Amino acid sequence: MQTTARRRPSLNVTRTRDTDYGIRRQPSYDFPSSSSSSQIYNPAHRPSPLSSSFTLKNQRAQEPPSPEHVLSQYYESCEDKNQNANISPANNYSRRRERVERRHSEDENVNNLAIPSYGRLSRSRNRSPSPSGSSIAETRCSSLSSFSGDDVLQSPNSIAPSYLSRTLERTPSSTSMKDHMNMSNFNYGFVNGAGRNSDSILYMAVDLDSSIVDLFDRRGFFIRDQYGFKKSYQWISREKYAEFEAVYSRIQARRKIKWDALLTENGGLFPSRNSKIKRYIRKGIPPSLRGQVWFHYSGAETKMKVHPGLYDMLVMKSLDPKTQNEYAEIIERDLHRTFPENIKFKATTDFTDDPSSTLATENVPMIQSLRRVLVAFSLFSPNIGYCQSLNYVAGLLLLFMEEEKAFWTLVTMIHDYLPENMYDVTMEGSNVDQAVLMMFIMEKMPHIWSKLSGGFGWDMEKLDGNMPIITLVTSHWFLTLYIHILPIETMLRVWDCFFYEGNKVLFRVALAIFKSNENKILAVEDAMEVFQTVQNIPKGIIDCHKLMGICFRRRKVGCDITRKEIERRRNFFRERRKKRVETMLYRK
Amino acid sequence: MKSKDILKVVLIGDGGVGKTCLRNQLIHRRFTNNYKATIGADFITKEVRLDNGRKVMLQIWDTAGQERFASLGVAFYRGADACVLVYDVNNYLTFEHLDRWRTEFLRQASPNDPLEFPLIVIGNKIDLSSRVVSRRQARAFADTYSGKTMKIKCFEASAKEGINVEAAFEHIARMVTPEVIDMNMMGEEECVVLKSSLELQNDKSERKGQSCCMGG
Repeated sequence: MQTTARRRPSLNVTRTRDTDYGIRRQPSYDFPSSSSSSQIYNPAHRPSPLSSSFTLKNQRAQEPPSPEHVLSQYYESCEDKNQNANISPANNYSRRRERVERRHSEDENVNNLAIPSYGRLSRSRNRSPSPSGSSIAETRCSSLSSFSGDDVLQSPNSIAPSYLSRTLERTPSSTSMKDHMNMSNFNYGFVNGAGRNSDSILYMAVDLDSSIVDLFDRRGFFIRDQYGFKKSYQWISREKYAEFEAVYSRIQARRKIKWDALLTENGGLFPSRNSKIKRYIRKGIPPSLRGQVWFHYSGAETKMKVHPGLYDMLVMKSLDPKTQNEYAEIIERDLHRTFPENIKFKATTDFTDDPSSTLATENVPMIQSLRRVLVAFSLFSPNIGYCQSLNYVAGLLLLFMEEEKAFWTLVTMIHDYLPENMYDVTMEGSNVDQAVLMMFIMEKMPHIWSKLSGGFGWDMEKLDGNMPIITLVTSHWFLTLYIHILPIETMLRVWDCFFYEGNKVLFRVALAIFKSNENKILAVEDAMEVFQTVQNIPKGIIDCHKLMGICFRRRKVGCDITRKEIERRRNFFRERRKKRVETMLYRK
Repeated sequence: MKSKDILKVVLIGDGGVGKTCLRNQLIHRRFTNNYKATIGADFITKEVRLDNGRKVMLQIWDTAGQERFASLGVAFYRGADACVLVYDVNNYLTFEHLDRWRTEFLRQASPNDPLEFPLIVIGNKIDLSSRVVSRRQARAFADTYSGKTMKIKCFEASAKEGINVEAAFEHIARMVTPEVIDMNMMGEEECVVLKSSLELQNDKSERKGQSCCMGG
């Protein structure tokens, strides 16, 4: 595949050229620490944490860190954050007003939102480096011949997103680039740099395609959160995000300190289950600890210890040509469609016109991991094999933990947390849960129910197989556990509680979404409008703290449902549905 | 009311054949490689103007392509006015599965006269050079299932290049004339036993639903 891989001294990034598919972009592993090159981000202009995170520690990220190691990373990131308190995003954001870019909004449904990005990366394409470090330009330009390592450079010990800048070069466009320009709507942005070069136009950027990685907005601020998703999108404007970020970053900083103290108390280990840790988790796990807390409290850790080497064995088995796996091809079709908007999952089809993206995905480590995890899972659970939406769940886990852990966490989620048959061929578990959810809404929120059901009652005797059309929306909520439903940070908060408290959290969140948007739902008349309203509501719920508050508030709201209540209703519907199927067979 | 009907059109076919892409090409006239695998279901409404000046609203539904998702989608199929079977001309399996998709659709939507139900077939991704399904094969499939009055038309399209996408959907709009809708409504009444009259009314009101784009 890769015929050459050479280093460009001036850029010091790995460049790989593929004869058939054009440029492959790869993360740069050794970003220069000196400011010798004017074309790249100059770390000397920026204090930590960015500079500290400019070495890609891919290797390290692969290794399961020990608790002490985790702690030390954790402390480091805390320090980094404190140092940067003066360039808080709140200040940054208040200084400028951004037009919300709604380009390509219809496929930008990603929930992009997260923790603040600290600091700004500067880059300029003019030859003279800007000592102020504030010259900045729109950064979307590339062609077959312009290239730099633009993929993720993320250091596990920094909370700041540390994507590397891409060199801004304008080189003669190739045919392929022209094609790109023809097929996508692109815009030209003239950007003024600040600081010494403030009045000179630094760079005219060409936005070729949404598929081309864009890390910064016009002023050079991160447009992606630390997980690699875009922060603002169709449903959350830049202003709204900034407003939330300003408040939430303070909450997060406080939670970090609390967790920090909690772990110190426990000698760097996670405490056993108790009401304090439950409260802590409900208030949100710091992103740097998230993967490990999930892994630990879900019980996946124990599972992995009990089955050492099983994952490797499954991976080996999947590579064996004798292994027949009907799901391998279906999995393959979904790999590059998993988080195409996330920088870590981005398949390298950006510059190629070749749509056989399976080839292009070969180069993306995250996609390779995802393939192994999903294929191993299909061998581990032959009843389920592969079900669309598992790709999102596994993919999200991979953003937070290493491969084997992600596999075991996935196994634990599917087998221990979620009801039986949720993802198997019948998807009966999912159907039953939808019926249960509808029943809860009917009981607890009759007004909303009358809207959802279109005014008629729900004769469970007859119609439990013919559920309200709204279940087409809500089934997605449960199947992906709110991935692509809620904004990323809100979704992560749901997952935090899910791993500690189990499946009931999914119901509570669903009810909280309905309850907190009661007015919006009641305001629309038409059944199809109700459908769309319910579909769109969660996408804008950026205030995760508020939502989780409603979820766990006692009384009044009606979200305080228990595991027992859910289980009882599940049994009821399972029986009903079974009987119904039997009657239908009998009629035939 | 007669001049602005809303027709429910459902797109079905295996995962990754390009259902979402076809729809987005039709609605937004653009294509990107950045599509996510669709989970759940949603619809977008698109107005199509016919030759005789009549306007028809197509409410185009899109859903997950994996077969098992069909069990979640009773409401997805219910009350459909037309069905688009999509396959990938470069993947024979997706073509083979059309039969299964058709059967599943007719079972769940249970129209009055399955053979006369408006159906079209779209072979997508003709821009790729690795075609394995020929036009003739698609034609043969269509002929097998065509009714006396409702001939299944085969389209070969490219959502990426925007080839034949509009033509296919315009054909659907022409195919499903208001008379046909009325027939279907009648048919449903007779045939869906479980549906209460209230629910049927609801179905009718759904048809007149407001149109607006949803992110998918």
